[in-house]
Formats: sequence, structure tokens, C-alpha cells
Amino acid sequence: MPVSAKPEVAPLSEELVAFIQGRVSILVASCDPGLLTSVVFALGCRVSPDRRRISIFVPETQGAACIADVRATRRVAVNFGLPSTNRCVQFKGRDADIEPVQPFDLACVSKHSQDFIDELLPLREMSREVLETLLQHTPEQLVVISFTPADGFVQTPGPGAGARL
Amino acid sequence: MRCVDNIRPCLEGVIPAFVGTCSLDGTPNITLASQVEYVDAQHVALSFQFFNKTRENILAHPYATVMVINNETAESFRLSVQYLHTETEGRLFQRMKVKLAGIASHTGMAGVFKLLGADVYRVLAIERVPGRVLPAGPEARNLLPAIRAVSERLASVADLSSLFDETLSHLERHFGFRHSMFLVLDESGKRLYTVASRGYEQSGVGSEIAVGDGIIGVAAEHRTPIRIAHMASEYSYALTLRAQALEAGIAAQAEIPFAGLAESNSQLAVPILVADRLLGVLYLESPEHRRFSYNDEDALVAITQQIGLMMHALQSAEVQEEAPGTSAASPQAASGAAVVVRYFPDNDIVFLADDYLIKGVAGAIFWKLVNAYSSCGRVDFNNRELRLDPALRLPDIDDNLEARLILLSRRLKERCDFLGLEKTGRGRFRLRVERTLQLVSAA
Repeated sequence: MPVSAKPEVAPLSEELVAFIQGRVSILVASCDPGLLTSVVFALGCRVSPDRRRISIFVPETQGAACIADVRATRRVAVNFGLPSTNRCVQFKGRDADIEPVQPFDLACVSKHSQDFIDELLPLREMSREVLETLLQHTPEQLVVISFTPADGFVQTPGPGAGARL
Repeated sequence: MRCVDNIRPCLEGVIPAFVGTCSLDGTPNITLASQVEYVDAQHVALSFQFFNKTRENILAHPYATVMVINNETAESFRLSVQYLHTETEGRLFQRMKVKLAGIASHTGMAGVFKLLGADVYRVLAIERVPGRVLPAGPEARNLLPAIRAVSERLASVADLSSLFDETLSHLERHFGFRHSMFLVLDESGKRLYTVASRGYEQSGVGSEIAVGDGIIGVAAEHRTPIRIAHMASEYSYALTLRAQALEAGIAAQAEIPFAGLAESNSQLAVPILVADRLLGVLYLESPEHRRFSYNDEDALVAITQQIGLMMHALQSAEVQEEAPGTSAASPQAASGAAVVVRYFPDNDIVFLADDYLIKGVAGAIFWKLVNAYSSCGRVDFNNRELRLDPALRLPDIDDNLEARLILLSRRLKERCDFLGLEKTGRGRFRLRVERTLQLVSAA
């Protein structure tokens, strides 16, 4: 484990781990040293066994700017949202690393895509084909952004939004 | 590429957009955006609903990145934007407020989403996200031929009545819009009344909508097109009608039901303006979600410009060409059992037997006509004498008389077969009476 894995916050609850590894959308933001932001979709999530480190899978072609920003600043913000309930949480990291994707990650990515499509199909007027196109990737394009969540927030719209987890 | 026009289908919000910002210490933040509204080719507006981190960030460092996605092609774009200002009233704000209510209703967020402001951003750059996309569907059809066909047709109409009907029939023919209404602003400027409709079981001609009430009323009040993809209960006319039904008395009986669809999901209301003066509203609706696109809205706005000018020109033509004096045609033979025509002067409400006919200016006109017929057998009239009659209290300018006569004529046609109003020339018309009338005033 990298040095940066030292615990800054308590481990994620099992419930939160299940939530962020579930049928959620995964949105990523970064900014470069000049404070220019970038955003990208991630295609799945893995949480370390000690529940202290989150890894998300990002296609390099679509997320080149985000990946470069994270390399430069090690900062990242990730939103996990479940469309059917509008529940959203956001985690922020200050120690993010870019790592190669592991062979066992590919099954996770594939499962996430299927789960997310199943989640969205009854909710939005979109075809399976569009969703598959949106989530397309080739394994060799994927990289891992891995970080310790230094901060976590409720982002479900409503009065509780913005509260720390 | 920096032109928002090219990516408008991505702003329909089927796949929610998301926004990345950062604080001055370089901490990024990411959030979903309920609404990204097209402002013009170089600007978009985001809904400001909560005082959240995104808001704090853009006030301190006004740069953000917005991801938008086309729900039919999966094509995605990153917009680099710069926050400029927040609008808390006016056309853009009202447009977004109505639309947000629809989005909230559709996504289970009714009562949670509330527009506090429209945050206007300048678009600095648009980057297409690399990746395979699907071809655009038939919705991407070129609407210019349809606009041209409707426009050519409207240019050839000779009177206001035809303009109302031809507009709706040709919008169906060339655009496939099956449910539509033409509403005209009344003399007070506070209410709109339906003069024509298409695609409903009951025409609803004569039904009224208060300016400010629902989609049509908001479009009129703020003189801006309102287009929504999902119905919001707070803008539903069905609820308004139920409230009206609870009222009692003659005034409540004198309500013509609004013809709108019970299950209306997509709605488009476009104000008809001439020289920035409101003349009416063109209203389209559909049971389908997302029936109307940005391009449909553009097309309708272009067509209503012509409608406004045509209404103005046709009304002016009526005024100029109406004949002075009246002809003395002999009345037609009226027969059969007498029909009681009851008149309530307070609101100029008229009933034929027990059936409500009309009220307001058109009611006062009708009462004048049937009295002239009863006392001296007159059947031929002209607009000028109505304008000069102080009892009708028509305003000096923009009296709407022609539209009122069309409304009266259409109500008579719908409600009885023994009375009618027929045009006999520009600014002239004839009252057709085929039953004996017994006039009773509640005064």
C-alpha cells in the first residue's frame, strides 16, 4: 500500500461500501495546478478490504485531462449517485494515485456497466444501445484512480445536502 | 467549437449533466446539475437551487466544467464555462422555474427542487469527449421546409378566423402537432380566451386562462416561450379547473371548460407578440414526454412572429374597410317556440334557455344585437357601430373586436342551430335568427 494510505478518517461503513459499489453513476472531477477543472464518468468502483481506500476505473481516452490533473495534484472528487432514489454521496481525496487496472478489475467494470444500465433503463427515456455506447471501453484503456477519502459528504438534494458523512 | 447551438439536444436533461468546480485551495468538487438551459450561442444557465459547495466555489473562482450528454447518440461534451451573474426574475428565470418544476415532478423531487436563481455562464470552450457515438435519429429532421410551408399558407389567409384555424391545422399537417390552441389576450390584458383549438373532444372555445396562471399564463406574463418535457402539478390546468368547479353561482356556471389534455406531459406555449405587445398565446401539448424539442420551439417562435403581424394587419384591414351605416335587409322568418335569452348585466353573461352561451364583451355585443333584432328587426351590423357604442365600453385602441366576434360566432355555432353570426364583408356581419327570441334581462 502506498504511504498515503494512512488512515485520515474512519473506514467507510459496510453500507456505504455496498452503496458505492452498487448500481450508481460515478462522476469524477479534478483540477489542474492553475485551477482549471475537468470531469469524466468512471466505470466502476472497488473498495479496499479495510474500507479505507476507494478505487475507480476511468477510461484514459475520455479522462485524459482528469488523469493528468490527478497525477499533478493528487486531488480528486468523486460523486456516487443512485438514480432511482436520488441518493448521492461525494468523497474527496488528497492522496490520489494513478494505477494500472488489475485483471480482476475487469469483471467489476463489466458488472457495474450491466447493473447501471439495469438501474437507468426503467427511469430514463433511453435505449440500452445508447447506455452501452456511453459506457463503452476497452480494458487496455482503463486506469485506476485510487484514493483515501479524506472527506465525505451527503449530496442527496434536499435540506441535508452538504452534511459531512 | 464554441457554439452552444450545435449541442442543444444534449441540454434536454434526459441524462443529467454534471458540474466540476474547485475551491481556491485546489480542492475539486463534483455535483449533478438538474438543469442546463440554453441562453444563446455563447451562454448557458444552470439552475441554482441550494447554497452548496458548487455555488461557494463559483463565487470565489468563477470557472467550471460541465459535462452534457446526448440521450440519443451518447455523444458527450465538456463545456468550459465562466460564471457571470445570477438572475432571480425575468424571462430566463421564469422559463427555468417552470421547467425545473417539471423535472422535479418527473424525478420524485417535487417540493425539494426550487429555483433560487438562474446562474448565467459564458461558454469558453466545448470539447467533444472522444468515443464512439450512435447516428442521430429521425428527430433530427430539418424543420425549415415545415416552417416554410406553414408560413406560405399563413401569408395567404384573408381574415382572422382563417388565421386561427389555418395555423392549427397546418401545424398538425407539417409538424404533426395534434393538440393545439389559439388564445387571444382580452381588453383588460389580464386574461386570455381560447378562439380556436384542435385535437380535443370539446373545443373549449371561450374558455379563459388568467395571465400568470399555468404554462400559458406564465408565457403570456413574461412574454417568453415555455417548453416543458414533463408536467408539473403546480402548473396543471386540471387542478385549476377543479378549484373553479368548487365556486358557486352564476359566475361559476359561466365557465367554459378548458379543453386541455387530462394527461398532458409535454407542453409548449409561445407568446404572440407584435412590436413587443402581447396579442395572445399559441399552445401545443402532447401526452408524450419530451414531445417538443429546442428546434420545435425555434420553429414556433418564428411562426408566431408572422402570426402576430398577420393578426395586426388583418385587424387593421377590418377597421379600414368597414362600411359606415347599415343595410336594411329584411329579417328571416323566425318560428317555433320562443327561446328565452337571459342576460346578467354584471358580467354581461348570456344564457340561451338554461345553457350558458357567453360573457364579457362578446356577451354585451350579443345582447345589443338581439335587442336591435327584437325591437326593429335589424340583422345587418358593422364593426364601426359597435366601436362607437359607449355601452360596449370597447377601448379606443386594440379593442379586439374582431376576435370577440369570432368567439361569439363560434360559441353560437357550438351551442345552438337557430342563431348564427355570418360575415358579409370586411367589418360587416349578419345575425341569423331562426327561432322566436324572448329577451329577459336580470337588471
